[in-house]
Amino acid sequence: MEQFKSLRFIFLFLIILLVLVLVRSFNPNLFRQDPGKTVEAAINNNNSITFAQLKALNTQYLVINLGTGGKFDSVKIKNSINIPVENLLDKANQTIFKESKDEIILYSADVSTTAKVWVILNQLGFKKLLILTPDEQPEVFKYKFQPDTSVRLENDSI
Amino acid sequence: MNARIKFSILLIGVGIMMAFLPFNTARSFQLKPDELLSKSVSDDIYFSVDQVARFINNEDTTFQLIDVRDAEQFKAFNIPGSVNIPFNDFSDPKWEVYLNQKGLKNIYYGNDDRTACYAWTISTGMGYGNNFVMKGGLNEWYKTVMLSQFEGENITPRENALFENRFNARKTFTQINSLPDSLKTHYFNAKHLQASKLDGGCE
Repeated sequence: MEQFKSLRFIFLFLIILLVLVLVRSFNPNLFRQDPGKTVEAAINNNNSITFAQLKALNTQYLVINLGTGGKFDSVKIKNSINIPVENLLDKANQTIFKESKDEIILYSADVSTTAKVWVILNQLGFKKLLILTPDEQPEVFKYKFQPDTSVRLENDSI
Repeated sequence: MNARIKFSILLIGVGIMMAFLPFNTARSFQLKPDELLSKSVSDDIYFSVDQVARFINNEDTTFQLIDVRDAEQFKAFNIPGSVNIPFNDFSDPKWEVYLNQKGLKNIYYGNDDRTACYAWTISTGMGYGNNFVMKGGLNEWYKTVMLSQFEGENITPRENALFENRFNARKTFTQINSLPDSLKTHYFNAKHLQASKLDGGCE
């Protein structure tokens, strides 16, 4: 007892520290993932699924349509719900992500919206996330650049 | 109780708690999720290809183009003045010198919007400011700047300015990307010299 008394200030300090650590660890409004892992997950579009692959998918899934107001995406997809991108982090919507045991598939007519939302959700710790895309290789350059072989430095009329 | 034992208990306790702290915050996202989301839904993060063409024609030094395609694609052709930071390698701390800019606008581009938007979200989330995306990427650049043609009999001053802007950017793009790598630096030096002559500056 005597020994405990002499340590009471240390224990008090440790308890306060523990509370602070727990508050930080369980705060849902903080990012805590390594950005490098997000990059790894997105490399070579490994986080994508095409419409054809979705049709053939045997596991359960939930499609989140991120369309908003005027920009609402009219594509009708089975097992889809609409969460406008502005309301993505509302408590009710975060609960949907947390409680879903199925694969979550993000869809928007604007690919940049799904890309940004995917990074945010991935950083929040949601791992079973895919982006629905119409193309198998969405980042392909569609044209062919022809260099001008007549270009010479000394002849340049700048 | 011995002060040394007290100090040891304190250190062990702090050490155990440190082990449970979230991931190293220095390399994780600094912005709060709702803050990042509200920035990401804004249209202000985009520059059109015509705006980027104007920056190039004016040799605007307040922006930095960042090509997030892989090195091979970058080598084949790129927008003049770009820096190549392949997305596969994006989280490497060696790029921080380019990404953590206060005075420059970083404009990301890929072949399309997707990879550039990944890069935008990660760099903005990590707390680096002044990030933008060239809307539509190189596919939009090629369609609008490289292939655009004026058709018709009359041209308004506005159309004329737009077409001239695209034409000049197209010319620079083709000239630079047609040169061997070693000559690209000489090209820029020659261009600066020409500009200084026109301004009446010294050679």
